[in-house]
Amino acid sequence: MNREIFGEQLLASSLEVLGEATFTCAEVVDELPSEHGDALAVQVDFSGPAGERGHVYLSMPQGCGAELVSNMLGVELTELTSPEEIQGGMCELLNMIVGAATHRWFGQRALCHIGIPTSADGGTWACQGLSVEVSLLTETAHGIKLAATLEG
Amino acid sequence: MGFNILIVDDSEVVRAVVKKTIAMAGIEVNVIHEARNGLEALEKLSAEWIDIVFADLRMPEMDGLELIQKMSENNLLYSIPVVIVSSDRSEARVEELKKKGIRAYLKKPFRPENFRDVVSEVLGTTGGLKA
Repeated sequence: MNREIFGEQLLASSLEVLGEATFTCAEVVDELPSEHGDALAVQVDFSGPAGERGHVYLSMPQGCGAELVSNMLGVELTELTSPEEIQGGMCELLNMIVGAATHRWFGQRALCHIGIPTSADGGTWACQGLSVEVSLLTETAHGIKLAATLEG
Repeated sequence: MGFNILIVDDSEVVRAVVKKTIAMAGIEVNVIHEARNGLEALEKLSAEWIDIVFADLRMPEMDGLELIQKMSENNLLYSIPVVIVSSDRSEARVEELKKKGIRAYLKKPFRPENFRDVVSEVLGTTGGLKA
């Protein structure tokens, strides 16, 4: 798989899902803000029609996750009290992003398999240094990192 | 009198988003039931009157595909319309599921009007999941 093109698909899909599901605008940046001690991360596997395989991470500060999930659910920020609740929402965002990215990448008729998203170790940008990376900055100045490993 | 709706998804967040979207769509609701997987859904379907099911595809214990299969084999459940709500956008997948008897397919992210259109289309017609 061409990592550069998959990165572009991942970026386009992220912007689409953030806009439609969380009403959030974001822009691509080279460097993310360094304050991310409370980062949360989620991950998911996918496979393509010819045996291609990938693993995608989504990582962001807890405050950013709370903002996005509160927008998605239509609830006040104060109603989201636990990191697990926020990670549950992040799992769904990642699910939609990877669904859109695989659709763009493999084509409209391709049968892909996307696993069940799970939480990953956060703390820092958990997905830094992987072969595909997308860094976004939201309109409220939060950093969001997507990264993927690809095989086949 | 509104509809009795069953939402089947392992994600609490998705169930909440679907409930909110149904409310925003202006769909008349009597009761919304929830299940975390196909097994729980079959229990709800056996115990409650359900007009329409919104189900995810990928769930632990029993996924959406197996739920559709089990419903199609059950004389009491085969006529209940099932709408799959999924982030899988493959047109081949949608065609495959329609052959298995689903009544509609909603791709995530969705909008309230998508739900309104589907409920209007599905509950305004007859038919079901007969195997």
